Amino acid sequence: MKAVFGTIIGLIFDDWILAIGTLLSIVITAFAIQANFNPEYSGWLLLALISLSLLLSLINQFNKKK
Amino acid sequence: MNDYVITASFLGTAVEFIEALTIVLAVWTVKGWKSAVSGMALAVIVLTALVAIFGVSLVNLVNVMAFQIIVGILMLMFGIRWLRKAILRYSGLKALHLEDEAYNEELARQRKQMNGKKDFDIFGFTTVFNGVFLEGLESIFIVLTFGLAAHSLSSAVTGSIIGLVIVVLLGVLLRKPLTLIPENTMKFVVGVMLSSFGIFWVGEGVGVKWWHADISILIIIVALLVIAFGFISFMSVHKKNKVAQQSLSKTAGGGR
Repeated sequence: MKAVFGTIIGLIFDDWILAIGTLLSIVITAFAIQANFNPEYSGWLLLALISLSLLLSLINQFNKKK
Repeated sequence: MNDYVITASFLGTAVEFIEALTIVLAVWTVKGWKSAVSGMALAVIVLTALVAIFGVSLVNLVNVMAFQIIVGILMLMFGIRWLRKAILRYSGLKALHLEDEAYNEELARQRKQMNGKKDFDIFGFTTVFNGVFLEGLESIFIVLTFGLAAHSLSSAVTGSIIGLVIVVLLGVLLRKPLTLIPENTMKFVVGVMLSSFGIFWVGEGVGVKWWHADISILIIIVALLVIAFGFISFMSVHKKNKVAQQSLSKTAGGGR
């Protein structure tokens, strides 16, 4: 379990954009569904937000190494 | 026996078994057999115990959505971390700072991990346990739902057993060819797989109604692959331009 938590904490501190972005994407989708947003479109909203977080994280890494 | 229930149960559970098999084979290849087999065995034991203790009433006792959120977040966190690292490695961003202390630390950690590949790995164990447990639980629910609705539990169980046998045979056949895939490629594939399952499960957990149910996983995989290969291609073009610029400035400098 130590390694499992290590990975999660590692993700949060290694790359906060990806960690916060992923968690925020889930929260936003959950709120959207609670607010009667179409549950079929919510899946694509979740995918779009997580993809955006991944892309932002990669771009951030690229800018750091430039 | 009801042929319709056998077919429906077979198709429904086979999809879940294939999803579980993907996770087991991925962890088996990357982290070794001990973690994969022990995680799978524990999940099967817990599921068997749950069915033995609660029987048909299990459907009313377990909150699958809560499990989907917890397991989905864990899968997503592990998967997306691997995927990000794999993309950075393929795009050359990892190799750009060889002297960097963090890079050397990461290299040492990976070497240590590779040396202990045959040993038990808690990350691999947890991943397999979570995946097999959730998919197994969903399979049990499918069998119970079909079986009780059609008043033919034996037909539903028969369908799921046929599905299980076919998927296990598939796993035995696929295990060897998978070990021939280079480790980095495998980690990239595993990253995409775990992230996709994670997004799908978290979505289901928070109330998403996925388009054509499990078929959406394929679309999620394609979306992640587009991002990965898009970024890698962008980096490849950027590197080529940089090299061209450097050689151009050298030529201009030599000509003076």
